[in-house]
Amino acid sequence: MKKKVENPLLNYENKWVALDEKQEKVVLFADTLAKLQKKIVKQKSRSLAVMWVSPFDVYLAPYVLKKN
Amino acid sequence: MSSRRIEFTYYPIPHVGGGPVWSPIIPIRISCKNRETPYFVKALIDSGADVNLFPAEHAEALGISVKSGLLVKTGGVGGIVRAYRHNISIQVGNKIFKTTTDFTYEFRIALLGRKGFFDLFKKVSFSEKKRMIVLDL
Repeated sequence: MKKKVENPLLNYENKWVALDEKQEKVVLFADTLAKLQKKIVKQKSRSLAVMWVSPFDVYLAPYVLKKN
Repeated sequence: MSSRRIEFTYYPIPHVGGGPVWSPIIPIRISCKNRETPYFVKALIDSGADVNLFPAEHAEALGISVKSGLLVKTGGVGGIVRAYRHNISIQVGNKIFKTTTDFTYEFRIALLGRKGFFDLFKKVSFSEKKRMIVLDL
Protein backbone atom coordinates (compact mmCIF):
# COMPACT_ATOMS: atom_id res chain seq x y z
CA MET A 1 0.00 0.00 0.00
CA LYS A 2 1.25 3.47 -0.88
CA LYS A 3 2.25 5.56 2.11
CA LYS A 4 0.40 8.89 2.23
CA VAL A 5 2.89 11.76 2.20
CA GLU A 6 1.92 14.65 4.44
CA ASN A 7 2.32 18.15 3.02
CA PRO A 8 5.48 19.60 4.62
CA LEU A 9 3.88 23.05 4.96
CA LEU A 10 0.91 21.95 7.08
CA ASN A 11 2.28 23.25 10.39
CA TYR A 12 3.70 26.48 9.02
CA GLU A 13 0.77 28.66 7.98
CA ASN A 14 1.82 32.35 7.85
CA LYS A 15 5.48 31.47 8.46
CA TRP A 16 8.62 31.83 6.42
CA VAL A 17 10.09 28.40 5.78
CA ALA A 18 13.26 26.92 4.31
CA LEU A 19 12.72 23.57 2.62
CA ASP A 20 15.33 20.89 2.02
CA GLU A 21 16.80 20.26 -1.43
CA LYS A 22 13.97 17.91 -2.45
CA GLN A 23 11.48 20.40 -1.02
CA GLU A 24 9.86 17.63 0.97
CA LYS A 25 10.75 18.76 4.48
CA VAL A 26 10.82 22.08 6.34
CA VAL A 27 14.32 22.48 7.76
CA LEU A 28 14.02 25.97 9.26
CA PHE A 29 11.22 28.45 9.86
CA ALA A 30 10.71 31.94 11.27
CA ASP A 31 8.14 34.70 11.58
CA THR A 32 10.06 37.04 9.30
CA LEU A 33 12.25 36.58 6.26
CA ALA A 34 15.09 38.51 7.92
CA LYS A 35 15.08 36.08 10.89
CA LEU A 36 15.00 33.08 8.55
CA GLN A 37 17.92 34.45 6.52
CA LYS A 38 20.02 34.64 9.71
CA LYS A 39 19.20 31.00 10.53
CA ILE A 40 20.15 29.92 6.99
CA VAL A 41 23.50 31.68 7.17
CA LYS A 42 24.26 29.80 10.41
CA GLN A 43 23.23 26.49 8.81
CA LYS A 44 25.75 27.02 5.95
CA SER A 45 23.63 25.03 3.50
CA ARG A 46 23.21 26.52 0.02
CA SER A 47 20.50 24.19 -1.21
CA LEU A 48 17.52 25.29 0.89
CA ALA A 49 14.48 26.85 -0.79
CA VAL A 50 12.72 29.76 0.90
CA MET A 51 9.07 30.73 0.71
CA TRP A 52 6.28 32.33 2.72
CA VAL A 53 3.40 29.98 3.50
CA SER A 54 0.21 31.84 2.73
CA PRO A 55 -2.92 31.33 4.89
CA PHE A 56 -4.69 28.06 4.14
CA ASP A 57 -8.14 29.66 3.98
CA VAL A 58 -7.39 32.02 1.10
CA TYR A 59 -6.83 31.49 -2.59
CA LEU A 60 -4.03 33.46 -4.19
CA ALA A 61 -4.71 35.99 -6.94
CA PRO A 62 -1.89 38.49 -6.58
CA TYR A 63 -2.98 40.77 -9.39
CA VAL A 64 -6.25 41.86 -7.85
CA LEU A 65 -6.85 45.50 -7.10
CA LYS A 66 -9.34 46.28 -4.36
CA LYS A 67 -12.12 48.67 -5.27
CA ASN A 68 -11.69 52.05 -3.61
CA MET B 1 14.93 17.21 -20.88
CA SER B 2 16.55 19.18 -23.73
CA SER B 3 19.03 21.95 -22.87
CA ARG B 4 16.65 24.30 -24.65
CA ARG B 5 13.85 23.38 -22.29
CA ILE B 6 13.48 23.77 -18.52
CA GLU B 7 10.70 21.90 -16.73
CA PHE B 8 9.28 22.18 -13.24
CA THR B 9 6.40 20.49 -11.47
CA TYR B 10 3.79 22.51 -9.59
CA TYR B 11 4.13 22.76 -5.82
CA PRO B 12 1.24 21.89 -3.44
CA ILE B 13 0.09 24.56 -0.99
CA PRO B 14 -2.29 23.27 1.73
CA HIS B 15 -5.82 24.65 1.62
CA VAL B 16 -8.82 24.17 3.88
CA GLY B 17 -11.14 23.78 0.90
CA GLY B 18 -10.23 20.15 0.26
CA GLY B 19 -6.88 19.04 -1.16
CA PRO B 20 -3.90 21.28 -1.73
CA VAL B 21 -3.77 24.04 -4.31
CA TRP B 22 -1.12 23.07 -6.85
CA SER B 23 0.73 26.21 -7.89
CA PRO B 24 3.38 27.06 -10.49
CA ILE B 25 5.97 27.89 -7.86
CA ILE B 26 9.58 27.28 -8.88
CA PRO B 27 12.93 27.58 -7.12
CA ILE B 28 15.26 30.24 -8.51
CA ARG B 29 18.46 31.76 -7.19
CA ILE B 30 19.05 35.48 -7.45
CA SER B 31 22.38 37.28 -7.67
CA CYS B 32 23.85 40.73 -8.16
CA LYS B 33 27.47 41.79 -8.69
CA ASN B 34 29.01 38.39 -7.83
CA ARG B 35 26.86 37.92 -4.72
CA GLU B 36 24.08 35.37 -4.69
CA THR B 37 21.45 34.45 -2.14
CA PRO B 38 22.62 31.47 -0.02
CA TYR B 39 19.27 29.83 -0.79
CA PHE B 40 16.76 29.37 -3.58
CA VAL B 41 13.73 31.63 -3.65
CA LYS B 42 10.47 29.84 -4.37
CA ALA B 43 8.67 32.18 -6.76
CA LEU B 44 5.21 32.09 -8.29
CA ILE B 45 5.07 32.29 -12.09
CA ASP B 46 2.26 34.80 -12.59
CA SER B 47 1.12 35.59 -16.11
CA GLY B 48 -1.10 38.31 -14.65
CA ALA B 49 1.85 40.21 -13.22
CA ASP B 50 3.35 42.87 -15.49
CA VAL B 51 6.76 42.69 -13.81
CA ASN B 52 8.77 40.66 -11.30
CA LEU B 53 8.06 41.58 -7.68
CA PHE B 54 10.09 40.17 -4.78
CA PRO B 55 10.26 40.76 -1.03
CA ALA B 56 12.92 43.39 -0.36
CA GLU B 57 14.82 41.24 2.14
CA HIS B 58 16.09 39.08 -0.73
CA ALA B 59 17.77 42.16 -2.22
CA GLU B 60 19.24 43.09 1.16
CA ALA B 61 20.80 39.60 1.32
CA LEU B 62 22.67 40.56 -1.86
CA GLY B 63 23.94 43.80 -0.36
CA ILE B 64 21.60 45.91 -2.47
CA SER B 65 20.51 49.21 -0.98
CA VAL B 66 16.84 48.63 -1.80
CA LYS B 67 15.59 52.23 -1.64
CA SER B 68 18.35 53.41 -4.02
CA GLY B 69 16.39 51.84 -6.88
CA LEU B 70 13.81 53.54 -9.05
CA LEU B 71 10.57 53.90 -7.06
CA VAL B 72 7.69 52.22 -8.86
CA LYS B 73 4.11 51.49 -7.87
CA THR B 74 2.64 48.04 -8.42
CA GLY B 75 -0.94 46.90 -8.02
CA GLY B 76 -1.38 43.90 -5.78
CA VAL B 77 -3.55 42.40 -3.09
CA GLY B 78 -4.88 45.19 -0.92
CA GLY B 79 -4.07 47.96 -3.37
CA ILE B 80 -0.87 49.63 -4.50
CA VAL B 81 2.54 48.69 -3.13
CA ARG B 82 5.70 50.74 -3.41
CA ALA B 83 8.68 48.90 -4.87
CA TYR B 84 12.22 49.70 -5.94
CA ARG B 85 13.60 48.51 -9.26
CA HIS B 86 17.01 46.85 -9.52
CA ASN B 87 19.00 44.95 -12.12
CA ILE B 88 19.81 41.45 -10.92
CA SER B 89 20.45 37.98 -12.33
CA ILE B 90 18.26 34.96 -11.79
CA GLN B 91 19.23 31.32 -12.11
CA VAL B 92 16.46 29.17 -13.51
CA GLY B 93 17.45 25.52 -13.76
CA ASN B 94 21.06 25.70 -14.90
CA LYS B 95 20.64 28.92 -16.86
CA ILE B 96 21.44 32.40 -15.60
CA PHE B 97 19.60 35.44 -16.97
CA LYS B 98 20.10 39.16 -16.44
CA THR B 99 16.83 40.83 -15.62
CA THR B 100 15.07 43.60 -13.74
CA THR B 101 13.05 43.05 -10.57
CA ASP B 102 11.06 45.29 -8.27
CA PHE B 103 11.62 44.79 -4.53
CA THR B 104 9.03 45.71 -1.93
CA TYR B 105 8.64 45.66 1.84
CA GLU B 106 4.87 45.33 1.41
CA PHE B 107 4.36 41.90 -0.18
CA ARG B 108 5.67 38.48 0.86
CA ILE B 109 5.30 36.34 -2.25
CA ALA B 110 7.95 36.41 -4.97
CA LEU B 111 6.23 36.89 -8.33
CA LEU B 112 7.73 36.21 -11.75
CA GLY B 113 5.90 38.40 -14.25
CA ARG B 114 5.79 38.90 -18.00
CA LYS B 115 8.48 41.58 -18.19
CA GLY B 116 11.64 40.24 -16.63
CA PHE B 117 10.68 36.57 -16.68
CA PHE B 118 8.28 35.47 -19.42
CA ASP B 119 10.18 37.59 -21.94
CA LEU B 120 13.38 35.62 -21.21
CA PHE B 121 11.86 32.59 -22.94
CA LYS B 122 10.47 31.72 -26.37
CA LYS B 123 7.51 30.09 -24.73
CA VAL B 124 6.17 29.59 -21.20
CA SER B 125 3.64 26.74 -20.98
CA PHE B 126 1.43 25.66 -18.11
CA SER B 127 -0.17 22.23 -17.96
CA GLU B 128 -2.78 22.05 -15.22
CA LYS B 129 -3.45 18.36 -15.97
CA LYS B 130 0.22 17.38 -15.69
CA ARG B 131 0.91 20.07 -13.07
CA MET B 132 3.93 21.16 -15.05
CA ILE B 133 5.56 24.35 -16.28
CA VAL B 134 7.71 24.19 -19.40
CA LEU B 135 10.08 27.02 -20.25
CA ASP B 136 11.39 26.92 -23.84
CA LEU B 137 14.57 28.85 -24.62
